[in-house]
Amino acid sequence: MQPIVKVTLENERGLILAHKKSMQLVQLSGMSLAVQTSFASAVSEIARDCITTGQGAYMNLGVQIRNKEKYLSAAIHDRNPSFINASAGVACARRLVDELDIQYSDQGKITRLLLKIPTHLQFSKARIAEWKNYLDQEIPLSPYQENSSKDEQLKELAEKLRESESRYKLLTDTLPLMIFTTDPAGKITYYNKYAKEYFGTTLDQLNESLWTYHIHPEDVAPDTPTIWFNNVVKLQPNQGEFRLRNKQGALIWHQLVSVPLDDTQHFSRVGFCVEIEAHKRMEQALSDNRELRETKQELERYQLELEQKIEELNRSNFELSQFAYVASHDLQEPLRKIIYYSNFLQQKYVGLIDEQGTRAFSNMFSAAQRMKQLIHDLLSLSRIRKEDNFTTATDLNQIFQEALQDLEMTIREKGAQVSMSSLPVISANPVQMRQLFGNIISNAIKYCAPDTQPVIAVHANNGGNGHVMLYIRDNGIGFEEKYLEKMFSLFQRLHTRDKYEGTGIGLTICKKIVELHKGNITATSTPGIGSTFIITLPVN
Amino acid sequence: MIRNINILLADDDVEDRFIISDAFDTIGLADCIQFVEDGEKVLSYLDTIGEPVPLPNLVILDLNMPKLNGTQTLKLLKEDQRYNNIPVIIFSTSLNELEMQECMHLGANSYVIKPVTFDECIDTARRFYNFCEGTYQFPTIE
Repeated sequence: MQPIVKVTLENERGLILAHKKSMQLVQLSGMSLAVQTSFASAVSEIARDCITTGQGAYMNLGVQIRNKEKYLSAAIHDRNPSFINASAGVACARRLVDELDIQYSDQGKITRLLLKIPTHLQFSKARIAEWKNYLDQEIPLSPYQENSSKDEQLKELAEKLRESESRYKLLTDTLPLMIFTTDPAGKITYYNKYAKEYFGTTLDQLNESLWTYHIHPEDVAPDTPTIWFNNVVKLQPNQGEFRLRNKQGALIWHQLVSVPLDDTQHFSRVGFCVEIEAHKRMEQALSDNRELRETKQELERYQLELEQKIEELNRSNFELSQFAYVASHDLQEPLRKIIYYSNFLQQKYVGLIDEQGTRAFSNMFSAAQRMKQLIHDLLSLSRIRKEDNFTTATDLNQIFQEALQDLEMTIREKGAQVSMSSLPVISANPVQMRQLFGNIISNAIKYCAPDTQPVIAVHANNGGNGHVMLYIRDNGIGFEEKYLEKMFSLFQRLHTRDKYEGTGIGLTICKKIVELHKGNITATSTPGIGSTFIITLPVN
Repeated sequence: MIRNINILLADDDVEDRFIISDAFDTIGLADCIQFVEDGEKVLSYLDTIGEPVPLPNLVILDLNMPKLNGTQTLKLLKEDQRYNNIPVIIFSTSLNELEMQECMHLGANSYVIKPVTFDECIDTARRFYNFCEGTYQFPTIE
């Protein structure tokens, strides 16, 4: 250490001198009043202890250079080593300087206070010599002078503090974020202009309504007492995301960070809130986007599955219709032989068989005939397939005439009377149309009371929307309309065979043909009066 | 009585051959009809006969036959200049629209559904004969 000035510490005067010279040295080195006061106070704290309890104490003020760093140094020598325990004064002084260490020896102890000189403050040996001269001068001292000089210093410090405070206030008030301080209980003690304008309430109101109104309840756990800190680690910085309600009532996402203040007021906090609404929305949009993408992928997967299912279904349908065709074709072969042989026996051996046997042959013959009809109808049904369904311009008048020709025998037998108004030309499959009309007219004749002459009337009108409506009205036995759906289902019959013959396939064929043509078939009826079958077909 | 009508019927079903044979027999025309078992036999039969034995007046073909089925045989007959003038009738158990259309397109004269009753069999036999005589025309199915 390069000593500059020595101060004997034996009485109050020494204490004042030590304070004064320390102030002056710091001032000479070019540092601020706050630093001057800090350093001088630290020196005073140690010096006071020495004056009270020490022996032959003195202080050397000087400059010390260590590791190229320059320090102002105050080394306080005390010959009384017994005072070993660090006093409150030492603790206080330690906070005010950069370094404080105490060396003990036979000669006593040396307390060394170091104050780092900022690197931008350059000074030479000549300057140090000047300081020495200046500080060596006897300082005239009177208690009055001392007091008034202290007052001046205090005023100056207070002024600086005010300035600093207003600078910070200006800073916090112009930042586009909320800044708070809270007391240990979490009560807000300060908020900046931004926060005040955001909430539009006074501090007291805010403290009252923060939990009940300004924070979205979903964003805090029910048992959380405060958003400022986490109960478990009160000393840790805490952060969270909350929706805060502004004075217009809108909830806006904010991120809150609060830090415990490292001072004697335990767990007081300073915190700030930054708006992260855009960030949250972006996050939401990204997540929505991802969900959308996932949903889309899922949909595509379903679509694929559906297509596979449809393909399977089509294949299975095709196989089924193939089966129906092959089965019914091959079933016909032996059946034909049964019919032939029973008929053959009836014809050729009629004299050799008794009455009972003849009846049995007759029953067998008609049973076989029914089976033949059944197979024939099933075959017809299986042949009505979309794949084979070509359409062409079809004159329904002509088709109806053909269907009537097919039924010529029956019509003549029953003496049926069929009238027809003009029918349109539509795009359809002529073979299927003939089958459709044939089935319905055949039904109309078949389901007629025994002693009634069947009267059938056919007419058409415009069904609108590119459709034509065909009406086939009869005076038959009719049906109860609650059986309508059943009537169009496969193998469903409304009458016993001994009254009215049938396989229960005819109307199913009609329905299939109409549906293949993208049309619709239904019927209305009054039992005992008659029925009207209504067919809607697209013109094209 | 010398008859100059000669019908050739191909069917792999022995019972069907018997039924038709019986029908021709019943109407006293048994010697007007010959039977073979499949399409291949039709061609080999036609190839072995020649002058002075005349070609058949009518060939009747079942559809479902082994080796050469009815449709294939019909096609070969119509492609052969020696035989393409012989009338051909398709004789099938059931009516299959597509097959029928194909046969008519290939040049078949008619498509006849096999009869079921004894009486129908006799009618059919008589119609085949009358067709050869030129006194009966099978309805043309569109």
